[in-house]
This record gives sequence, C-alpha cells and structure tokens, in this order.
Amino acid sequence: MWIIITALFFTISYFDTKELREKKEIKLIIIYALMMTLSCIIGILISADVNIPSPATYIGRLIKLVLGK
Amino acid sequence: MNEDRLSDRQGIRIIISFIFGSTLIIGSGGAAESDAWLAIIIAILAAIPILMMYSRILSHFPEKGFFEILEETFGKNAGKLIALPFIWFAFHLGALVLRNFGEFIITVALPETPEIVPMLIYVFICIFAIKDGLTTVANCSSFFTYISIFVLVLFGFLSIPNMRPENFEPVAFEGIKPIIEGAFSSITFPFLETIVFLMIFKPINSNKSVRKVFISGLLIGGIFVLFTTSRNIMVLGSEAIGTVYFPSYAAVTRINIGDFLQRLEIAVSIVFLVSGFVKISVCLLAASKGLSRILGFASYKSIVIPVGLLMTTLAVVVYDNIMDMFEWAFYIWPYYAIVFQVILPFLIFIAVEIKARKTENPQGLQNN
Repeated sequence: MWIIITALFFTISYFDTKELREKKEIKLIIIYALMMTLSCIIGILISADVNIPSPATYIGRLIKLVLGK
Repeated sequence: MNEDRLSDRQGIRIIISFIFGSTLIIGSGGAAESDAWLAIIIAILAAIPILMMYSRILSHFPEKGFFEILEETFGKNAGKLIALPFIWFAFHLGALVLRNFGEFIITVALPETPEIVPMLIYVFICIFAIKDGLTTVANCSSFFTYISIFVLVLFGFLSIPNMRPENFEPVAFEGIKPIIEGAFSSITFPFLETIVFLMIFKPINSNKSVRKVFISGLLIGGIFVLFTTSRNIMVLGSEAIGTVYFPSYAAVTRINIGDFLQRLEIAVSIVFLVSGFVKISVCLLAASKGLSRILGFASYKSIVIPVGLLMTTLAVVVYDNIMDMFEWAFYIWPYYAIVFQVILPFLIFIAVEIKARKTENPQGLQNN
C-alpha cells in the first residue's frame, strides 16, 4: 500500500511543480516537498492502521483544564 | 481583473453558502433543544457587532488584505507571528468540515467505503476550484445559493404535514441557561466562522460595502438556518434534535406526500454537499493564502495541493469516530473557536484603530 501512496504523491508533485522547476523557485519547491512528504508519511501511517495522535484530543484537554471541567 | 475582488452580491452569496456549510447537516444550537430557534436568534443578533468589527478592520486599509494589515500594524515579523493562529484556524476548520462531510457521506450513503475516499474526492474538487481563484468559487456559490434556498424552502413546505408546532412548547422550560449555551454554540458555529472571510476579502468597493456584505450574508444565511432549525424541531421534536446526528437529513426522510413524493433526501444531500464545497474551499484558500504570505511567496496557488492534502490527513486523524466528532463540535469547539473569532480579532481591532488614527492624524496624536 505504501508504494501506491508514495507513487501517487510523487506523481502529483511531479506534475504540479513543473512550473516551479522551470522558474527555479527553490524555496517554494522545498516547502512544497516538505508538506507533501509530511502528508505522504501520515497517509502511509493511516494505511498501516497506526494510531496517530489527534491535535483535537490535546486541544480538548487544554480547554477542559482551563475551564476546570 | 483582481481575482480577490468580488462584487457585493458575490460576497453576500458566498457568505450565505459558507453559513449553510456543515450547519445544514449537523444542525446548530442543539444544546437548547426545543429552544434552539431562540438560541439562533440571539446568536445572529450577537454576531452583528462582531462582524461589524471584522469589516472595520478591513475597511481601514482599503487596498490591503488581512495579512498585509497585520504586517502594517504590528511590523513585518510580529504581523507574521500573529497571522499564524488564524492560518491554523482556517486550516483546522477546513479539516473539521471535511470530516463532517466524510462522516455524513459514509453514514447515509456509502457505509462500506473507506472514509478517506469521499474526502479525497471532495478536497480535490475544492483544490481545482481554488487553483482557479476565489472568483470561481464565488461564481459557483452564486449559482448554487439560489438552488439551495429553493430546495430548503420547498422541503420546508413539503414537511408541513409532519410538523407539530406544539414541539416548540414549553418555551424556556429549563430556564435561560440552555438557551445561552445554545446561543454560544451557534455564534461560534457557524456565524462567527465567517472570520475566515477576513483572510480572503479585500474591501470590495467601499468601506460600507464590506459591512454590507458581512451583515447581509449573516442575516440571510441566519434566517435560513433559523428556518431549517425550526422545521427540524417541529418535525423531529426537541429530544430528537439533541440526539439525531444529522437532523435536517432525518427531517427530510420523513417527507411522504401521498406515497408519491418520498425518498427526497438525495436532493437535500446535494444541497448540503454543494454548501460544504464552498466552505471547505474558502478555508483552503484562507490557509493557503496566509501560508504563502508568511513564507513570502508571490502566489498561493502553488501550495494549494499540499495544503489540501495535509488538510485531508488532519481530517482523517482528527476524530476517532462520529460520537467523538459531535462531542467536540458541541462541547469543545465553542470555547476553542471564541479565541480566534472574538478575542484575537478584538485585540487586532484595537491595534488597527490606534494605527489608523495615528496615520490619519499624526499631528494630533503628537500634541496629545
């Protein structure tokens, strides 16, 4: 499964960054690659049924702590 | 043509569609049960001054967007730092709405399908729209707002045989507290979620027009949310309003006119999905615009796909299940959202007012 996800992300990135590569926008390409890599890793972890901690849990705990509930 | 500039009418319609968004699916003011209609009226009235504050922030700098205003007011680095929570809010809101629609689709139509499939399809439609610019989304919403309103009104009338007005009674039986809780919940979801428009609007034609767009959008959208909620209370009853996951959908499933007009929920589901498309697109646009601004990119369009995909992954991991989603939406969200919708904008509003007065009358301030 991880091969399919990686291939999918790579294909999307390849076609979507064509213009950026032509214009040599290095900073933008790096940020783009970082974000895509992050979503790709999370996507692979989701497909492998790894329990990824949700920010909503921590936000909820913080709010309950502040409100004293 | 500047892609970010909308006409007043386009602005109003996009706000209406945005307010419809997930509200039509999961309802609003559920804490007040049979008094939810009262809670929504209070929420609309309370939202008006706050939306006037949003429009005032924008109207001081007619040629600038929200992120530019922050940089102008607080300085370049501090402005970028203050922009971060708003970008997160737009991103998080987009993910939550996406999850709402994912849950809705798999619950009512595709129970065997992995949740990520409808969410991915949905987010890619939004990405394509946003890559074309805000005007594309505004044109879509201009077209679909009429259809949505027509369907809502039509289904309201078709529900008349199932309506029991006595479901409204007794009014305020459990006191004012549940009504206030419901109003607090309604104001943060959906009315003040329009803070996201602060990040994508530039003053449309004049100072008055920003206010007009915000207030008209709120009032028209609010009236239809009120209409739908009242219909749901009359059809489902007060207890069901608080317990059914998708009250509007449940209310429409009960329509049966002479054993001929029935199973109409598919039509109303399409309206829900279209409104959701506008809401997710606006959130995606706001997050992409903010991120490209703080990273110093010329255009937000290059990072729409990665932001959209990250939004989808967040939507998948954000809740464990549908119960978790509803608990968060009704009990945690209001306290979380109020920080981004009222507290931070109010502080920014004060700073912008001081800055604007300094700019308009530097001499006067020095004399003082």
